[in-house]
Amino acid sequence: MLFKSMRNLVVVALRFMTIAVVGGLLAVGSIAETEMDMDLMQTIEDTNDSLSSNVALEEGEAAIADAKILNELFGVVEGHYTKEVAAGGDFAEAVDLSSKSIKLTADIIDQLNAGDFESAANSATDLARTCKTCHNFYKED
Amino acid sequence: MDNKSRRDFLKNSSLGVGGAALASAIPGFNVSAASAAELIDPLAPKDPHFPAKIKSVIWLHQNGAPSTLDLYDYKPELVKQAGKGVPDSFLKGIKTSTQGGVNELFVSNNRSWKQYGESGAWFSNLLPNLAQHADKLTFIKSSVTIGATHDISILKLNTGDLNPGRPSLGAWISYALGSANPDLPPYVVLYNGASEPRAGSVNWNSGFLPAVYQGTAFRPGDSPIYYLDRPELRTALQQRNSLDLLNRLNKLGAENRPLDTELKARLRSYDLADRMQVAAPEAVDLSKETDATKKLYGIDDAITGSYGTSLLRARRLVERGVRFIQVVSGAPDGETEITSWDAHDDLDKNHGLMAKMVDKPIAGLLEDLKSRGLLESTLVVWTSEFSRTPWGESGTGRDHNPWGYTQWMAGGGLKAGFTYGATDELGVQVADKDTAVDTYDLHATVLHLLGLNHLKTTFINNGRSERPTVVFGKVVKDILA
Repeated sequence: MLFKSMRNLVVVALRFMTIAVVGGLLAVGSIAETEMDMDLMQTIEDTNDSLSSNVALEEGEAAIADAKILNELFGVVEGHYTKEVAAGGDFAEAVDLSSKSIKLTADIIDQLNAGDFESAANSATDLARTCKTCHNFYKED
Repeated sequence: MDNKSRRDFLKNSSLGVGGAALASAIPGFNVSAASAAELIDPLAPKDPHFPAKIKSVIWLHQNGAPSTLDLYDYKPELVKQAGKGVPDSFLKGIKTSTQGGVNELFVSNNRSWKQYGESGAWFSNLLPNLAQHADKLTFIKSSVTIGATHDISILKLNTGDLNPGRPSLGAWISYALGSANPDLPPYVVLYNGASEPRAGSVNWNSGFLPAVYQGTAFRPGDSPIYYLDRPELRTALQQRNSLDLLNRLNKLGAENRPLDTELKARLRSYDLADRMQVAAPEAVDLSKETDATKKLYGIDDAITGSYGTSLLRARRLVERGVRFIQVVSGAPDGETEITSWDAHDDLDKNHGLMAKMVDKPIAGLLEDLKSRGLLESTLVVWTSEFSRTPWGESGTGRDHNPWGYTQWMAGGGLKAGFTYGATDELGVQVADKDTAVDTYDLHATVLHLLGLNHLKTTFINNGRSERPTVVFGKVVKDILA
């Protein structure tokens, strides 16, 4: 479990590096970022599944690692949609839900550090439902 | 622990009193903690996480997705706006590119509405018998799901996922609680009509759980299970002698290989099949039921007869300790044109027949369970893969609606005569998204009533802890008594 979380961390780090490189390439930045967003969402989904499992198995260390990754990733998501809102996009709900997700992942980390797996399981469920709410809201036709 | 002591431990815990104690002390929700006793008898009864409110569930899947706007969810505004377009404000946040498009709002001229019981629940003229039981029902009028094809959404209704591979709710319950009757499967599927329900056994399979927990489909008719009947050329004594010999030989083998749990499981399955040859046909044999009881379920009527038979069988299975009975609505005997609630056109004709098929039998089931003192320990669930839109399709039909519809439950542990949630004024989608009840929430609530915490009902699959509610699911606490 810990190995998997570390692997996720490496994947995330590589993505951040890619974002940084792409950020310098203004001409292609928009397309590349969109593609990365999809990858990012997939990583979030995989890490969330891993978190749910690790909490259920009471694998505290691995679960905290997952929650920390998610906390950082939702920061990226929130930043992305904040920019979209600033550019006039209708993404206020996405900003709110990603902010909520950041708070939930922080709560999960605190709960896991306190050894409270039951509360962490409930918070992880809230987190998954928040993701679902956002995806339902912005589902494309 | 060395080999000998480990062997002694497994032998003692699986074969002796220790095994029974261990099986009850560890409810088998986590395969890593599964005892050898469970592996030998995976259907051994297991304790719930907390005291259960109910013992059995009758899961009434209304196949084809009835329009709950034509059954329970009265919308005066829809009546007023019929024939007009759907205002954009009602469509915000939902994907509406279903096959029929968004047409004018539609209301049948044949529909009328009335309130029933002390609860004042609304019922349409399609359900006059069920309406008499308004105060027994707990409505969830804010149900949501993922709308796809029927087959995919039915899969989600039963397993929580859009892709095959996850266990059905009944399989999770069998896994978590075991069997209350060693002579019958804990999870039985009933259906009426000429063929097995659409999408088939994937809707009652055990997914990544051991196969022993899958549902057993009981066919309509006197012989409920394929190949269960003893061949005519073989007498009961011959079969018993043959099984006894097989048993003795296998026991000899088992003594030399005490860790071979598969062999012990096989031994048990032979005996179970032998016992089921008697128990299963007896469980579904209605010949000893009174005429009054049969009439209560509408068995004396051509339209209600086959569905009523399924529901009376369901009650008999509840009496015999079956944990989960999944009843899939089919069609009246001999009916070939309308075989489900799927009313993309001529809703009046479709729902007129389908509502008549289920109305009296379900009312009869509720009355019968109540009079026998079984309703308090049983949960009856009216459920469907989705429902239907307030706008019309093909002029007189309705399209699929997964964004807001009605399901109900009745039985132990619930606030009876209670309504939770609502759809908007036209019945397009849930009015308050915070009250939305998705499949996972319904499953979590059913498990809760059975004394199971869905978060702790887990199974390790490919190194990952899985649960019935995937990563979602909240118990709908507001409907609990």
